[in-house]
Order: sequence, then C-alpha cells, then structure tokens
Amino acid sequence: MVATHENKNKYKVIGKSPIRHDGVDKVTGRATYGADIKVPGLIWGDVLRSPHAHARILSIDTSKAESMDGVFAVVTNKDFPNVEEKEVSTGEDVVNLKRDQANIMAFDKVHYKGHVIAGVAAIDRNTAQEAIKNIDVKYEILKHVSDVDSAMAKDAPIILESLVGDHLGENVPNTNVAKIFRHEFGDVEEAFKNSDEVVERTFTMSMIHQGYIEPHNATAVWGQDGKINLWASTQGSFGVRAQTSGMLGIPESNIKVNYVEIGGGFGGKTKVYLEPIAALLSKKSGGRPVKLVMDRSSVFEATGPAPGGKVRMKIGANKNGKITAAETDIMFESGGYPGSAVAAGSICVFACYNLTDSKITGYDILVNKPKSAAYRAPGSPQVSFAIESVIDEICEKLSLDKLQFRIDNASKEGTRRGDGVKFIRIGLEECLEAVKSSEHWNSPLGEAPEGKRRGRGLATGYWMNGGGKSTCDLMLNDDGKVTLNEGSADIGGTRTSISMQAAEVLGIPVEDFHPSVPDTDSIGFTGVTGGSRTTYATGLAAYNAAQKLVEELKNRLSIIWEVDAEQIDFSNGTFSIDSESIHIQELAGKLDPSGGPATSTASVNLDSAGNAFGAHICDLEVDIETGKTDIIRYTAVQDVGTAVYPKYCEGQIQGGVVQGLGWALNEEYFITEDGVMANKSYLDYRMPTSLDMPMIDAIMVEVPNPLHPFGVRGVGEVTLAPPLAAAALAIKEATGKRHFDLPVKPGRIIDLYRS
Amino acid sequence: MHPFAYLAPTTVKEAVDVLTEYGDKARPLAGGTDLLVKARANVWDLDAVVDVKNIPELNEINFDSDGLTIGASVACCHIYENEKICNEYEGIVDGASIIGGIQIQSRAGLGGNLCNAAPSADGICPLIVNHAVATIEGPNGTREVSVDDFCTGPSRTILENGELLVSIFLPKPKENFGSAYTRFIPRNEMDIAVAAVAASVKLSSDKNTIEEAKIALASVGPTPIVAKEAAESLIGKTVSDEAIDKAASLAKDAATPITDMRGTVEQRKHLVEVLTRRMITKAIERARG
Amino acid sequence: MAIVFIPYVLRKYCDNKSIVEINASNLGELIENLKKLYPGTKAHIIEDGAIKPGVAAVVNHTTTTKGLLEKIDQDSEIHFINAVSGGIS
Repeated sequence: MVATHENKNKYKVIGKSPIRHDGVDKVTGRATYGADIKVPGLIWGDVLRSPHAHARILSIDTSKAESMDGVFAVVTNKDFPNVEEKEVSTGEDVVNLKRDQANIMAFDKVHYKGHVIAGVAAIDRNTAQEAIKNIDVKYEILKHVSDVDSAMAKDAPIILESLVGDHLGENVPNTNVAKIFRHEFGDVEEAFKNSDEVVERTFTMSMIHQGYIEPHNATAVWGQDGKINLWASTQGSFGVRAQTSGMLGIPESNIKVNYVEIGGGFGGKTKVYLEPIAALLSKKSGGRPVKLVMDRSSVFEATGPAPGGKVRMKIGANKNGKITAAETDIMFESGGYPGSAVAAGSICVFACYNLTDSKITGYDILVNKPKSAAYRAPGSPQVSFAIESVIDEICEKLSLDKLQFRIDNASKEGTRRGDGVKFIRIGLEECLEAVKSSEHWNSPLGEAPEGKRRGRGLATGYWMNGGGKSTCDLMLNDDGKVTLNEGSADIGGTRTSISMQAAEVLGIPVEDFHPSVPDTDSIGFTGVTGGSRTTYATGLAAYNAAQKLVEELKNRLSIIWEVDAEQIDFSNGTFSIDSESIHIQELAGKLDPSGGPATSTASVNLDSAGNAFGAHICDLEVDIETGKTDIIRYTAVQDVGTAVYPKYCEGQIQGGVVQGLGWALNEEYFITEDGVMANKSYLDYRMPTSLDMPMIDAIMVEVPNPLHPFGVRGVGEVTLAPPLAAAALAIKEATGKRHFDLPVKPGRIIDLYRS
Repeated sequence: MHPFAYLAPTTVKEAVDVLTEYGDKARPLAGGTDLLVKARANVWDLDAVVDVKNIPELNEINFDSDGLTIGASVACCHIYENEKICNEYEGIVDGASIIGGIQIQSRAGLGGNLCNAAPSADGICPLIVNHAVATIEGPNGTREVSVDDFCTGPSRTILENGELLVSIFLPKPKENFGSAYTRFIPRNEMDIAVAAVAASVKLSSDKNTIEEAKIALASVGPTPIVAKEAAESLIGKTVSDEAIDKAASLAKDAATPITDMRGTVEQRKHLVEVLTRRMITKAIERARG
Repeated sequence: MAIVFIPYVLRKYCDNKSIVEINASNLGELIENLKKLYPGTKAHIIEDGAIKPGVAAVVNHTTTTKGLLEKIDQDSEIHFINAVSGGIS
C-alpha cells in the first residue's frame, strides 16, 4: 500500500506498474545470463583453490597439468603485471590493485580457504577439473584467526604482512587492524553522567552471504589486437572494465564488457573474481575464448560476503524519554584483505536518532575468511541490530513506549548524523507515524497455540543511498516509439523504472519504449547498480535526456512550422503553437526535412541521493520446546520518496525483509576449528524458503526527495536494516530473553529460555 | 569427474552381475538424488552407474495378506500418493513426504534413502518402527535383513560386493497399531534433520494399554538408533503422561549425537526427548483411530 | 565564514577543536586556508593535488563530485569523512 504525501495525479506514468520490458524473456527462460554465453571455439577454465585458511605458498608446480592432453594454459599470480600497493580511484570506487590481484589469485600466501592459487584452461570442463588436481602446491600451514577478538589478540598471526594500519591517524605495522577511525561530537562522558538510565551491551554477528542464485561467471576472449572481449555476471559492466584494466595493466578502452542478465547480486557482484583470470587464460591459450563458472561452495568460500563482527553499544536516556548520549565500537571482519563496510556502518548507526553527544569508533579487522564485500545497505543491518536492541531495553527499563520513544527522538530535517552531516528533508517521522496508525500495530498479537509463545518487535533502519555517474541515450524512431539505452545493469526491473521517467517527460506510453543495456563500448560511463542509485541517478539521466529531446524536437518543429522554437509549447506529449499542434509520436515520422533522426543523450554525476529510512513490525511465534520460530505477520514501512513503479518498490522491500529474517534467524558462516566454512551449501546455509515466510506487507510512505524532479529516493537497501532487531526483539517479547548474538537460531533460543 | 559407463540392466541378475564386476567403482542409480551429488563432489570415483529403474521388481508396490512390498526404486511420490499406504502406514508417509522437496520426492525413494545410509535419513526410522525387512539379492543368492540392522555407519550398510537392495517388506499392521515420524529442522522444508524420532505402538483392544512399542532416532548417532529401553518401558503401561515422559527421557539417554553445524549435543538430546514425547502421543492417537 | 567540521584524527592539529571557521570561495582554497591556520591538516586530505582516495568531502549535505572546484558559500558547512567504497554508494 502507498501512503502518499503528495498529489500523485500529476503523473501519467510514474506510480503505475506496467508489464516490465524484460519480463517475458525472463519468465520464459529466454533471457541470456553469463553462463549461457557460447562463443565459437569456446574452451573451459577452472581454478585451484586453497584447502587451508592461512598458509604460505612454498612452491607451485604446474608442469604436470600443463603437459596433459587437452590443456591449453595454466596461469598463476606470476602472469599478472606488477602494480603498486596503494589506493587508487577507479572513477567510482577506491581500490588497491595489488591487493585485489592477490585476492583473486594468491601471491605468496593464502589468506582464506578457497583462495585461488592457479587457473587452467582446457578443451572441456572435466579436463580442466582433472588438470587442477595435477597442480602440486607445497604449503607451510600458518595459524589462522577466524574472528575479530583472536585477530586483535597480542600473539595473533599477521595476515597481510605489508599492511600498515591507520589507528586513529597513527601508522601501526604488524597488525590485523587495518583501520581505526572515530566520529565524536559533544561530551559523551558528561552526557552519560547526566542520564537516568544507561544500557551497555555487546553484540556479535556471523559473516553471512548475499545468496544470489546465479554463481559468478566470466567468459573472455583476448583478441590478436590486444583487445579483450568480456561477458560477466555483474552489477556494473564499467566496474568490471575498470578493475580488469587495473589488474591487467591494460587501457580501459581496450576492454569491452558485454551486458548479460544478472541472477542476483545484492552488492556481492561489484567486485571481479574470475574476469582477469579468464582473460589471462584466453591470452595464454592463443586467444581462444575461455569460460569460468563458479560452483556454489566457491561462491560461499571465496566471493564477498557481509562482514560479521562485534558491536559494543552504550546508550543513555532520561525518564522524560530523551536520549542523552550514545557511544559505540563497531568491529567488522574485513576478511582476508582490508576494507569492510565499517565506514558505512558508522554513518548508519545513529542516523535514526537526534543526538548531540555521540562517539563512534570503527575498526576494520582482517581475519582468515573471504574478503567481505557489499551486501544491501552494507554495514547497516549489523549496527541496526545493536542500537535497536539497546533502545528497546532502555525503553523497558524506563517504562517508556518504544514507538513513542522513537518518534520523540527521531531524526528530521536539520538533524546531524553520527558523522556530523546534516540531513535534508527525510521521512523517518512519517514512517513512525505510519507505524502508529497502521492496522498491524493496532491489532493484538492473538492467542498462541499450546506450547508456543508470541512476540512483536519494532525496529528502524537507515541507508544513505548513492548518487554517482550515469548515462542514458534516447532515439525517437520513425514509428513514434523510443529506443532507450542506459548503462545500469538491470536488477529489479530498472530498465522499466528508468524508461518510465523519460516516458513521463515525453508523454509517450512506456509500452512504446524499447530499453536496452548495451556493452561498455556503446554507452557512456555508468556506475554500478548498487547503493540504491539506479532509479534515482540513471533515472535522472533519462529525465535529462528526455528534456533535451524535447528541446531538439522544438528546434526541428521550428523549421517545419517556420516559427521560433521558443514559441512552441510542449505538454502531455503534444507540441503546439496558436494555430497548430502535433503529438510527439506523430511528429516522429515527419522529421526528415528538419535534419533526420532525433536523438539525445545525457550523463549525470550526482553528489548526493537523499536518504532512506524504514520502520518494521515483526510478529512471530516461538515453539518453547524446540526453539523453532515462525514469522506470523510482518509489516515494513519505508519512505520511498516517490514510488516510480510501486510493485517493484514493494518487491524490493519484501525481498530485503526476507533476507534480513534469514540473517536474524538462521544464516551464518559456520566456521570449524580449522578455519573453514562447514555449511558451504544451500542445504546447510539455511536461507529462508518461500515456505518459511508469510506475505510481507509493505507500507510505502512518500516523502519526495528534494534532489530529484520526481522525488525519487533509492528503495532497494534500507529494507535489510531493521529485520534483524525486529525479529530478535519479537523473540524477546515471546520468550522473555534478550539475544545479543546472531543468528538467533533455535539452539540459542532454547539454551537461553531454559537457563 | 571422469567419463563413466551408464548401464541399464533389465533383470536383477544382470544388475548383480555388473555390480559384482565393477565392485566399488559402480553404484546403483535409483532416484539418483544422492548418487549424482556424491559423484559430482568426487565423494565417489565411479567407472559405472547402474540404472536399476528398468528392473520390474524394483518398481512395484504389492499388497498381499502378509503386508506390503515396496520396490527399491519406487519414488516417494508413489508412496504418499497411494491411498492404501496412506491409510495403513502413516508413519512411512510422514517420512516419505518430507525427503527433499517435490522435485526430489518425484525421483528419490525409500530404497535409495536406506542404501545411502545417512544418519539423518528421513526414510529409515519410519521403516524401523514399522518392522521393515530388506530383501537383498547378490552373487550368493537372496537374503533378508531387518532394517534395524541395515546401516552400519554413515554411508555404510551391510550390503556386500555385488549385492542389490531389491525391495522392502512391511508386515501388515496389527489391530490398534499406529506409527509416526517427525524431525526438527529450523526451517519448514528443504532441510536436514537436526534430530528426528519415529515411534510406533500397538494398543490393547480397549486402546488404553500399550502392548508393543518401537522407537527409532535419526541424526543423533552414526546410524539410525533403535531406542530399545525407551520402547520397552512403555510395554504393559496404561497410556499416561508419566509413561510417555519416562520413555522420552530414556530415548534421550539412547541418543549419541555430535556437535556440528546443524546443532549441538545438548540441543539434539533435548530435541530427542521433546520429539519422542510428541511422536509416542501421535502414534497412540493414530492407533486409537 | 564557512564552518569546517574537523575529523577526529585531525583535531590534534586544530587545538582539539571539532569545528573551525574558514573563509574560502572553493574547496581547494578552503583546504589551503585551513592548512595556514592549522598545519598538518592538508596532508591528511590532499594527495597528488586532489582529495585523497578514501576521503569524502561533504559540502552541506552532499558528497562533492566536483572535488577542489566545489563552490563554498559563507554559510556552507564542510565535512571530511571516510569514503564509502566497494560498490556501496
């Protein structure tokens, strides 16, 4: 349901849910994904992965594999060019190419189980797999660390020996702590002293995976002209181009990344793993096309999961319901190389609350696990779990209403986030008011069946959303229809949500749009589909391109009608002057005398995006004998700015909630004493299935984003932040016990309940 | 994975011959839902896959005056879609209808589930409490083995080189008999048991006294465990909460679980107690009709 | 004068102040003027003539994409925070 805060009737296209342009191909199985790519002469690649969590590589002998029939090439890290170990910008991201190279193919050490050591290209997949078994690697096994505490211990083995940590501005060698940083405002110690109640708790959470259905894949052809043709499952073709170029030392423009559909990414398909290896294998195989496809266990063990870690949270409040002070230490596992989502987590942690005295300290900590990557509002779910749990406890201790407390302390326009940045117009208060007036919040939990207990949890969450660079091209065809090219990988129907914004401007039905996502040679730079930026930023590029097209058509009409372009009016798709008028789609076929085809292109580089807030209500039932939980009702309230395509917004909200409930209840990297993941299959990773979830109700609040002409805000990520605490707090209400460790799995529920 | 032979014999004898010839390097393919996974994961290094679905005896469901014979490659869906089986062997149906999802149940059967001998198998404990007997054909002829004794360890059974499970026989349930099976999984479907319990009872003619009982536990030891003392504690007892609690407590003692990614020792033992209580109660309800 | 929020690690160069006021017409000038008052600050923000990778300059509510050319008004506020990278925004 949409709870709008403005008059939507002003739009003709925005706010409707037409059939998506890529829908038929996707539901009939016609859509082409990376693993479907077949190129003449295609051969197969495979990689050798480390069986150890932490080891020094003493030697790699590839001679036996190389001499096998059907084997064309073997590559190791020696085949990568030497690059400097420093941070560089790729145009949309900051990377350390040396470490990125080492992460996708180990140099002298393996930092986690599954770390790639060598790649092979062979005539078929089985031969490649057999060749992998014939590579002989000698290891010196090293002590490993699997969690933040052991990584920070005095005698901890050092994972990345070249790392110099930045600890609050001091350079510190021989450490697993890559970075310690702080945001501090006001006088926190004094403010705690002046509080009626202070609650301090420490929370732990496991590393978890995005769990996209489609495994990573890459197909590469290294042409005789030195140019590389690539196909890959990615959230951003230009990111693949930039990273591959940097790691291989090849100019970006020599690489063409072809667009294929993507079977889920959630942030995890923003980093390359296989692409440079496929390219090098192709080069060494005499330019044969080489395809690599990961299996599920490799996806779990060696791509980019969300960091686990530890969050210490201390909140003070007064009896009158005002938060006095807040302090937190956020310790995230970055994995085998530096760079977790802790910076983002530190921005999100206090964003829902109006604070004057706060202190946030972030730690980025290496452990012998895969290098973490983005996962839907990266860093926010972990910190939301911590703060929302403590807010709930402090409300309980002060006998305050937990919803009213959140309303009374809610961030609004002018409030500063924990990093000091001031909010523009945001919709958190509106979300909380929507909770207050919702049917769900005002309905009783209902009687639980025998042996079960029910509880309700409430939690909020924040995500800043992204801006960045995007491009959109429009071509008005003779038949009155529009070809639209845009650079964003289509996740969640963005071809349509982008087209709708151009359609709104042009007054052309969106069904008459033919949107495509071309290769990187055929569209201007466009950033990754991530950060909830696509409908906002690429949509704005489409809006601008449409405005330009209108101007171009006015110029054309001025030739045809022999009037000044300024005299021509345009509204609802019709150009008019006093004596004449013509609809844009009719004009399309009459443009030849004015100069032929009419096209336009627009690029944007947006420095901000508006912010996203959500507030969720979770009702669940706990079997107090087995610890089994069943979600019985769930409502997610979110400020969506303007719902361009309400059904997609609803789908995004529901999808994120399901992922969040999986994170809350069962998902985890179960690490053995050997430092390896035991449950590296979907059978044992225990993501929720459709049978575990009720229908998730979405209430979309619309507080238009002042930075976008249609008020669009990113929608796809904040939805993952509140469910962790919402579920854990519902379990608290059902069982009387507070949980501080994720996942809140049945064994933990029973242990605590029976204790 | 290297190339392997695909063989599809049409008689039990042919199947036994090729299994004898290949030894460890061949496996029978019934539903294939475990075999394909293990072959692809290099758990088994196979030279031959012996498809047994073309052998008539392995595909039949037969009722006679003594009981029910289910061919070793009969898929679960044919078991739970058979009205007579649903009426007479409720505990068997409990297990057959939760192995994997619908796609798996349309391929996988109880015979394969038994031969795969997973400690967590959903099909085996219901067979045990229904007094099932396995019919095995091998190079040295036919033998019959109680399902109680079939599994010898994780993925290990009493089957010897060249031997093939042909069918499973279930004696006709006595008057006032009931059986039930359940497992604990954190999700609602598509999961492996953390702990599981099957129970059966035969009640007296007034349906108040337990005359016979059998309890079997899964996922709490290297093989399915027959909880003998727990079952015996029920015999001769009037149906009561105390009797059921006592048996549940003894079943808990019989469990020998490990701690792993699916659960801890304490959690699993606790679950055995809870589930045993629930399954005895359900078996009694079913016995009372 | 524009208000500059001093990041925690630079406060030691700024008499432990969390906020200072600086006159400037654009971000580059602002950082220069900040350095004149508080030596040591610039090296943490600028590398090779541009804002360091890893640092995000926020002017008012937006992370600048114009870099040192970003216009600064009398009532602007400026933050230097950790860049959020990794396909995150």
